Amino acid sequence: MVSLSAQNDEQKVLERIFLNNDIDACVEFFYKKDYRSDEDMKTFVRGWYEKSEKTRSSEKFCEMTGMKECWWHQDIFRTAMLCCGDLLNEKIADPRRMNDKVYEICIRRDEEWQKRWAKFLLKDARSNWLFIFQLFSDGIIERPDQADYYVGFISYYYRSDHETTKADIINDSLIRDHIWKLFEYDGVGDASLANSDCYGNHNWDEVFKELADENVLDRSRLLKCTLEALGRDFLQYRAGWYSRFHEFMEPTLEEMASFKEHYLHLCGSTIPPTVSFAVKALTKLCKEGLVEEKDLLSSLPPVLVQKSKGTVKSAIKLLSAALKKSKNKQDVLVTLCTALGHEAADIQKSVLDILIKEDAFTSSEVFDTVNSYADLISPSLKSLLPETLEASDEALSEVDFTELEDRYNTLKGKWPDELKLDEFYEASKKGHFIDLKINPQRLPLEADLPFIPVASIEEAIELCLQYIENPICGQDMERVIDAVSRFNCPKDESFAKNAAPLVKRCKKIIDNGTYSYTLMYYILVMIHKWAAGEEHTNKWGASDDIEGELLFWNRRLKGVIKKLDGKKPFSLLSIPTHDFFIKAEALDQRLEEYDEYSNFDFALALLRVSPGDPDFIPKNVILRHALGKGKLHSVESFVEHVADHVRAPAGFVQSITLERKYSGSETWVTADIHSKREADKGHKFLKSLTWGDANSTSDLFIKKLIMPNDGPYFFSCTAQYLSMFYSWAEGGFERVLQYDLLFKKHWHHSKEAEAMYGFGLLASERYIQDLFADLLIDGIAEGLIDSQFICNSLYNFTGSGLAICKRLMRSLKPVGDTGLLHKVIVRNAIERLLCLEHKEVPKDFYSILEIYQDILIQTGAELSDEKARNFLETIPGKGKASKLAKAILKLTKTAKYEVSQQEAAKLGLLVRIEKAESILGM
Amino acid sequence: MAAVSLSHTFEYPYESFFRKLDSKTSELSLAAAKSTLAFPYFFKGKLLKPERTSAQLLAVAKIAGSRFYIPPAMVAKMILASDPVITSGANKLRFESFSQCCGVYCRLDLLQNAVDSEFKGRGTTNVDFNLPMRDALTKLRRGSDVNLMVGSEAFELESFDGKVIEKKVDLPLRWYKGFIEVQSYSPSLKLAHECKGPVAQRFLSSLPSTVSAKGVCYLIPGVGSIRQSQRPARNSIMVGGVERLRILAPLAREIEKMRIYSSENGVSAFELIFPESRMILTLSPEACRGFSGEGQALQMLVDDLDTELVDDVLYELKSKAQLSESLLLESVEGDADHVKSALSWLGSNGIVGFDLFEDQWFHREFPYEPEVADRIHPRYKSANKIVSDKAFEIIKEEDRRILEAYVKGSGVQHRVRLVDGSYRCTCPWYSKHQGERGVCKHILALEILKS
Repeated sequence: MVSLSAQNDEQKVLERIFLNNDIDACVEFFYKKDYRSDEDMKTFVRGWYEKSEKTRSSEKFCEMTGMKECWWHQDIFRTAMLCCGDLLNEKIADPRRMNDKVYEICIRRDEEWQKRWAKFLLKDARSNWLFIFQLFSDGIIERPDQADYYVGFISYYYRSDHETTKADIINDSLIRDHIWKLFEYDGVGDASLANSDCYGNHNWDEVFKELADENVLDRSRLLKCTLEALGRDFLQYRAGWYSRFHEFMEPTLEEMASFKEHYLHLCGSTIPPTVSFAVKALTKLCKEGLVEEKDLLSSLPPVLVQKSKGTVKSAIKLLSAALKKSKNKQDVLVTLCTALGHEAADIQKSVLDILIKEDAFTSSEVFDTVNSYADLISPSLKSLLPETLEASDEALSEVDFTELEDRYNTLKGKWPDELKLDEFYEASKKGHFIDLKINPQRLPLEADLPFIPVASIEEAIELCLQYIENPICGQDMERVIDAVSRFNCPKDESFAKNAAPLVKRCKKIIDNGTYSYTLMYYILVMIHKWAAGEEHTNKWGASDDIEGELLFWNRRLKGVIKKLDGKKPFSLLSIPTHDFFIKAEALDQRLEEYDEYSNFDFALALLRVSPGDPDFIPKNVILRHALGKGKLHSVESFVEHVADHVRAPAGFVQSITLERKYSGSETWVTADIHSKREADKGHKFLKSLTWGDANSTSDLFIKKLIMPNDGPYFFSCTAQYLSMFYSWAEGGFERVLQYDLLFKKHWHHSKEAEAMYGFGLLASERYIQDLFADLLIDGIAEGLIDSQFICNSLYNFTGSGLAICKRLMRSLKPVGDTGLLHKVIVRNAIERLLCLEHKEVPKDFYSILEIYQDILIQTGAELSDEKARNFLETIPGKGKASKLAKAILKLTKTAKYEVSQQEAAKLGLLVRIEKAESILGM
Repeated sequence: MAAVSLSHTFEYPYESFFRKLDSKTSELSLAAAKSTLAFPYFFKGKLLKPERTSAQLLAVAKIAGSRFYIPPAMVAKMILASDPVITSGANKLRFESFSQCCGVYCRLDLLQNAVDSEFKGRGTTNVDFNLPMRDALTKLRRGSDVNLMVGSEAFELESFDGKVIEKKVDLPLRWYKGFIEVQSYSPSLKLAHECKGPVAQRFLSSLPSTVSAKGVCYLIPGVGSIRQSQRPARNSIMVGGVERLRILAPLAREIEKMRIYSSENGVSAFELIFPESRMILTLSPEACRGFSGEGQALQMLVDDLDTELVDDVLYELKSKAQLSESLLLESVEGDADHVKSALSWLGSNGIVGFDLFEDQWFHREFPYEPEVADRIHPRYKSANKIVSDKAFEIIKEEDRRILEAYVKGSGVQHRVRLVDGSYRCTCPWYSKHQGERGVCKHILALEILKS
């Protein structure tokens, strides 16, 4: 046990210094006298040091010891420890708290101690750079050769100004020598040359250039080092500094020629901007005839598979120029074919043009190479290929109409009107495709996703255990709630033993606070009470300050927890019958059978009710009111307000505005959705439930869980949430926002859904685009989405002329590639879009036209609508959009058209037949 | 709890190097760790496609040094990369490596037509892949002449000073375990799709560089494309952490074909086929899941193992270097199930590997400490302890089959019961994984009792 009390006058002086938290006085104290051999003093200091390290809170430490109030109480003790010569803990070597005097105290010591100290410092060479450098300068240690030491060098000069940095390099040969190492290590975290030049107090590139001009640094070595650095495949952001610096140095043609090998090597870099940089340099050298063909053939192939169109085009130009002089044209042509794998049709076309010009298809090697790319070549370019190529032509459809007819006849008279099966059947017979979506909310629930309750108390325990370890699936959560309420019965002796692991696990999770303030908290409390017979909570667990959906949810669970007395089983009205929905018939029956239920339970049941059979009239008046099959005289209670809301959900005022924004030289487009409930009606609690925004995917999840029927509200909230991802790719986007959360077969795809899909398809985040492509593909396959819907989704954005259409290449193109039905619907959607008025032609509109042109060719169709044709004719300029517009206008119907329409009609009928079969449980 | 690791020392006779012999010819000399090989050179020959082979070797080394997932608690404590493992035999040179996160296994098979030489040495060892050599390899271009030498003796080298190169690394036990156990997944992988090189190239280069820890996607092959979807669809292929394949993108340009294999347990494999080589990347079900935690091999350990048959199978494999199951069945006395079980046991002990392309097992003795194999199954050890401590209570039994039992856990008794032919347990491991990552120690204890 170490005593903190001062034993002599010197210790008393130091104690006063400690209590005043005066670091300078502390250093001065040790500067005057070396206490390394004074064991009492060392023990005294160590006592304070250990005490300070044990007490993390400065407030508490000051209160305990009477030390002057401060933020960081440990610093003075760490300094004292180091000054005492005690290297007890490496934290004491924290240089941020040290100064030159501390260094002086330390270098007075013997060589062995200094070596130990240096070892300590080198463990965190980045933070301790200055002291290590001083030790190195003083000849105490050799020059360190570890990356973080040089990262520390960058960090140290981060705040230094231009003149000081330059002066240090000029005056100190050791610093000058360090410079070259900055080309070997790219940095760590925010310490890099790229970051320093962006946010630091000076620009390294300017310093280096000036020093090279003043002959302090070797210019040729600087240029070479940048290229060698680029060859090390540093992180893209950091690598950018080296290529920018190389260009900033403005190398002469002669200098560049001497680095030819480096540029050729950098063509194989994994960093795309480095490849572009290298190609740019090679282009300059090639113009002067300084690069041989064999070098180009050996180095350019990796460039031809780059994503950047500009870089690939430059490489094609270099090869094309080489081709003119080449004696071995076949090699050049085969190399060029690599670019046929690029997804841009114009890149593919430039290669095919060269091949045709050179009559290259006669060469078997070229032919075979092109053949391997045949499936990747854009449909609009297929006519340029020799007929003998083996491109796999997509089968249009394989639906057997006789089989469809049989299935239709089996269903006859049983399907709901909404499916319009007769109409579709007749159209299909004539080969007419009907492009019309289904409103699933006018249909009974499909037989899939039925709610399966647990059958025994053993299963209930296992389900609870499984659920708390994997709290994701929504329906399982309802199964847990249902299980604990139905098995709220007196338990036999074995129950306590069987449920002991569950009790232990629940308690542990509640206590560690992982789920505090989340939907899961009361579920854990509920399970614990059921299994242990007593309530266990955590004071940080839940707050009643929460508003909206979570409060609603908590109230429901609290009601269940209150009733869990282990005496009498009870059932809840709100337990779903399918997915999160309750069939109206089932709810009406429950209302008759159940003795008692809470308002929250009833309200949730109403929010989850699905209309079911149109002829069904519920006995319960409130349910009848909710379904619009009766009317309450007055709406007063909370439950009645909820029923009123279900009967006629308040509408949305919704619009989307796109705006061009500027900041300095940067411009970008923002998209905002304006949506809110039209009417401020209803109960206060209900308003809070249906008014809020969604700030996270868990918010969306709770909304969906509670109001599975209120699709428009959910879509609107999601659109609002997604609007954050229109302008920028947000790195922190939660991947929880997944398919199952957004897709429900039972939801009508309303205008709010159109807004959501627009944001999703045009999101800057690739992950969101992919997600919405999936949703669109399944929406079409389920008959929930038609071409009008897609058109409206896109027009919300393209109408203003500010939409970033290029993003649709990623989201809409795969939808069209899915199959014939999808192709026809996307084609019709774009045709509808072209008919609408656009304030200006949106940026990269060619992307939409490229998708459209491909589908027109694949389905043998033509653009016949006059309005759409007029719009295309008015696209100005000689840009890509204008060229594509002209190409589209020239397209005429081919024999494929009739076949594709007939097949699409059959597929449309198939979707409805499958829907009917699913509803009827066939 | 600190991760268990084993200290391993790679001892090389010299540092691998790449040097120019004359203006046209270079030499790549890979230093092999000490081994019991009969020849001073494991391999010596000329690379016929040096540019491609060097890019492939770099990819193998890159996998060994990659961590595709960093657990949140693990701040910056990275393990030093292990060197790749090389096996020579059956007219192939196989280079194997395993990622630091234990979720990606990579193997490059250099076939006979990759080199202008005969394969003399047979066996397995580590090869030194140092930074300067890798740097030199990146600079190789088409048309270079490169001799490849893999050996453990360096007497021909002018610069050789007799100094042994030692690299000490702390390799976590889970790394060993994953590297060894990945073989037991390979036979369950089935060919799901094959595409042409350009399609593979477009697919690989379209992958994002950021790896999602828990992301699972479904690949939907189409005409000239492979689309990534978040939904399973007909003929879709489930792949976890697909972004990990991005590491293969630099090789994509020269692929002839790509094969995608998948299995029900979520493991997938991507095989790039080149004219003279094959490269396979096996991915764990999620980027945050290593092969080490899967525990699929546990069941095999409790099954009745015919040790004589294991010896016979091993003998056959040793003598022929590579054999299919059907050929093995012809050579040994044992039925298909027992041979399969013997092969799986050998696989999970690092003695054999599986070649998906050829659907054959090959002999390869893992060049790490032999006692490792005994230490890699902590669940198995715990289960044995439960049995030896008699820390269980059988409640119901029928025809020597335990129907219900209580097994001692930490502070509680876990109830294990047989439902529809398989056991369920109330422990957190079972509750979380529902048997998908192997059985828990409580169930395993009952399985041991039964066997």
